[in-house]
Amino acid sequence: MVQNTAVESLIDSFERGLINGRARWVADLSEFIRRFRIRETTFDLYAKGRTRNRGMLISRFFAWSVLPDYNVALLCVNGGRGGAFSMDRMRSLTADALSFVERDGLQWVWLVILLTGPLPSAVVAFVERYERKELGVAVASVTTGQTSTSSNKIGTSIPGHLGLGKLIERASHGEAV
Amino acid sequence: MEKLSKLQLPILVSYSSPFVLLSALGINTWLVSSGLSASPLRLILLSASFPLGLAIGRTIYLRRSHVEILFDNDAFYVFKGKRDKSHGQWKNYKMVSIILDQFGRADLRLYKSPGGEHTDLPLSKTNARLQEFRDYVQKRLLLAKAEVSSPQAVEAS
Repeated sequence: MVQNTAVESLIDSFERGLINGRARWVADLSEFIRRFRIRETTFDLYAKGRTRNRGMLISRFFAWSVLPDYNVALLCVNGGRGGAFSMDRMRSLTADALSFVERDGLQWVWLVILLTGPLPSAVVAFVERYERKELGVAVASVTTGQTSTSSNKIGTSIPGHLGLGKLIERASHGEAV
Repeated sequence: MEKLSKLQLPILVSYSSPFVLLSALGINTWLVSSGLSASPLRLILLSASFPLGLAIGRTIYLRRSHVEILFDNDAFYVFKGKRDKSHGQWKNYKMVSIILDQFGRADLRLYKSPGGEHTDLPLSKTNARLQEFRDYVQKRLLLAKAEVSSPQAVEAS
């Protein structure tokens, strides 16, 4: 229960950072929805946006002339809810996220799964081998600080560009996030 | 009903500054015509233009641009100046989101259906704590939904 609260408070901080523009180097996320349901899964956080920044005058012109304009999204889920996190749950989350990519015509989606306790080795292996370019996956433990990302470009951008790495590190050291 | 509002200083300043300038010009003209232009009181009298201009600016700001959100467990009202900009009942909405405008200001968006008709609450123009208020609204929407699906269960709880 306490650990679930830790995950929820980390999701709040993660969302706050994104609202303050932490993802801006990769995507301009402009709308944030909590408890968003896709098929069988309720995601704790869904953020949607575009790869082209809005900005004003010069930055808007620069974005318009240089950056591609793709619809993208971020999905974040507390994986510890409803018992131990299994490979079946991992597969179902990626399947739901991929179905969402297709349904909403998105270019790609970040999928962030937050857990407590050590990450299951099968899950880590699955994430690290994950290669589909439409889905960047990260799984992280708020108690041990362990983070694992898919090796595609979208996945590797999660700890750095979204600020998840620092948040997880602080949470795992018991600092307020 | 609880109230959310905030004095929007940049707007107040933009309304007040022409009146501060006009008051200073008026006072200066009066000082010259009264032969007090060389008096040591001149600066003190001229400084009266600030409260005078701010008072006029504040009146215009309150009439035209001050945003207030009144809400309780059933409904909300958004006022801009003296106008009732929008109002509604939480039970008429299905989904809530935080939306950023092109300047990065965060407001709340209430959807009547996912991706459909919506109403915006300008939280960035009030002193509301964004995520806390969103969670409160989300709770209201969930309760309203539960009430619709099972009125007896909600009454019992």
